[in-house]
Amino acid sequence: MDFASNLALGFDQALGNANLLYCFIGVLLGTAIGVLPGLGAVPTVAMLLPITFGLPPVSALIMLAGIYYGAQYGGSTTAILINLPGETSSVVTAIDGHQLAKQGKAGLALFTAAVGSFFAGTVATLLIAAFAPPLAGVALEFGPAEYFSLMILGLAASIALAHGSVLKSVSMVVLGLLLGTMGQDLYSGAQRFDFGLVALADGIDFVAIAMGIFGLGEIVRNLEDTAPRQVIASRARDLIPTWAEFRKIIPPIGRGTAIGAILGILPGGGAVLGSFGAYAVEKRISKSPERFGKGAIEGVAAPEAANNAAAQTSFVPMLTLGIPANPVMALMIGALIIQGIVPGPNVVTERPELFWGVIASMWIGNLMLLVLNLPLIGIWIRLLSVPYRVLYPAIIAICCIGVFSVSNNSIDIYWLAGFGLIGYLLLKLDCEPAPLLLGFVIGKLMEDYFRRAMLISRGDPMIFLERPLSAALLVLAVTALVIVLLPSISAKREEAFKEEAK
Amino acid sequence: MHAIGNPKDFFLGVLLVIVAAVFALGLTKLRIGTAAQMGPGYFPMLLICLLGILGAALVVKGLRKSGTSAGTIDISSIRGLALIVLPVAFVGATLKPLGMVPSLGIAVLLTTFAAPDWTVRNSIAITIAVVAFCWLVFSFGLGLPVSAFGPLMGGR
Repeated sequence: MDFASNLALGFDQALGNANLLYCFIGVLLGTAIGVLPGLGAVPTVAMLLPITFGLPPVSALIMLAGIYYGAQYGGSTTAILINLPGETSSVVTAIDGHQLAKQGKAGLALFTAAVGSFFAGTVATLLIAAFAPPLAGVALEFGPAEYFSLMILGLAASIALAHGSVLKSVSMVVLGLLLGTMGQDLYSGAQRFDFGLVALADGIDFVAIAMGIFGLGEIVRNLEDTAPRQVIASRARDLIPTWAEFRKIIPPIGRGTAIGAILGILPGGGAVLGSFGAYAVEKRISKSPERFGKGAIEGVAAPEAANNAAAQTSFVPMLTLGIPANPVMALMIGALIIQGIVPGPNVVTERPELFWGVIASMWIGNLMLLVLNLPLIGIWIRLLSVPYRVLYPAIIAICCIGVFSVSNNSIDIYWLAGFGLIGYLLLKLDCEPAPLLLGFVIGKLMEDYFRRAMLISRGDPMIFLERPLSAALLVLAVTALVIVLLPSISAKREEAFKEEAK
Repeated sequence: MHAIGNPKDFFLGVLLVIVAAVFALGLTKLRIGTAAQMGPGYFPMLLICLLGILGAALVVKGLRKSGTSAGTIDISSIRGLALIVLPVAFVGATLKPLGMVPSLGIAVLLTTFAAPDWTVRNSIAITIAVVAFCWLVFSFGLGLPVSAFGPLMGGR
């Protein structure tokens, strides 16, 4: 099969079987919820996961992908208009975007974000279509040892990119892995860590963990933050920029796309790295770097393009290797596993309709975003002014019923409450919860590969170092951690995260 | 001055050691096996050891006096936390016996008290709107098998 026929298959899938409708609903819901202040892509996807469970796998994944870009775009709108980024990847957008909005150029900033995202999405889709299958081909050569090492690399990357203390992030990963081992053992069928309780027999539902930590935990923290918000209204007629302005945003969009697309493939939080990287590059090559932070349009164009490109290319390691590049991808893997599909290199060959359908729908989804958001911006602005006192009870109710609907089991609601508490505690202790979720999602798979590799080597752990590919992956993982721990870099990293916190 | 240099590290470390200890207790029921023929307990055993070590390291790090005493733990919002988490647990306990409307209604009403700008009127209006929305979307729209009023309320 060649490139064109693959893409044709993909578009056939994405346009047929009501998938176009699911993509549309996903993008619409994603934007509507993502635009709400304080809700980033992760809680949005977590909250909407259950509604996709009744769908066939292709439709479910297409809808989730749509929700993801929608939420991403909605987050940028919030960042620009009220300087309240819902997630780290739109923090950079808020810096110059909000300044532009204050100067009455909110329309220009929103338009730039939309066009930048669309262009980046188009390029990234083509890149995925071209590079994912060969990558999956390489992955087919992988044995259990390589898979295990690859997962170590993914976890190491997530640790390197998490905020704050490396020691804490490592602990979160290990805690996640340990929680992931609860429930039935794959080989012997033994009940693990049920502590004699029926409630623990199946382990913990991952939707409950995701919603509890990212949904409820965030609410409590947002309620503490009583800083007043100011919505900067923008009229729709300001949206279309002048030609001179338009010409100015093209090169940064191109550069942002390239940076984001490359960084997005790396396991461990590409979108954040992409937007920070793109912003830094623009500032460095600009003839007038002093404008940055005071409303430079390049400072919106490049990071927006980069975070969208990275959001898309992060599907590559997820679909071809089964390794989540960020918490949203971890949620997607969870959704796929619930649908009975184990993500990995076999997906490309055995379920081409799934793989190519999702890729084609990415481009369609981006087109929808552009078409939807420019005219609907007035509605999004109205949503922005919904007070938080109305929002959070609704979020809590949706989380409760949503988590229940996964398997019609009330016990999952208790877990939701429990992980809400844990999520809040972790926030208070300055712990990034993303590595925990990542560890939890891949825990069982990792154990499976570990046991298989050790079975092959008859109990000799050297197998992970003797196989060249596996050794190379482990070296990369160690390098990633060592780099973060180096004093000079860790000082810079602190600085970067501090800048982000502003 | 506190005796503990960094309370955040210290408490996280203590928590992790406790978690490791609880899981170690659960581990006693599982067959460990050998490195070549791992039982259900082998991989968890490694993780528990690792978690214990990491927890201990955090405790030690927290006890050491660091130059920047960054991090007193602020638990000012214990009330907000309780008003979010307890209602959720309440739904867990009552969703099936009471049904969606009373269970969710009481829970949502409770959560509205956490808002800094609470008023009776808002609180009731929000509760009605949210419950109606959830019933429409989940019961009516998605066909979730939860009755509006459960067995204890005279429904099914």
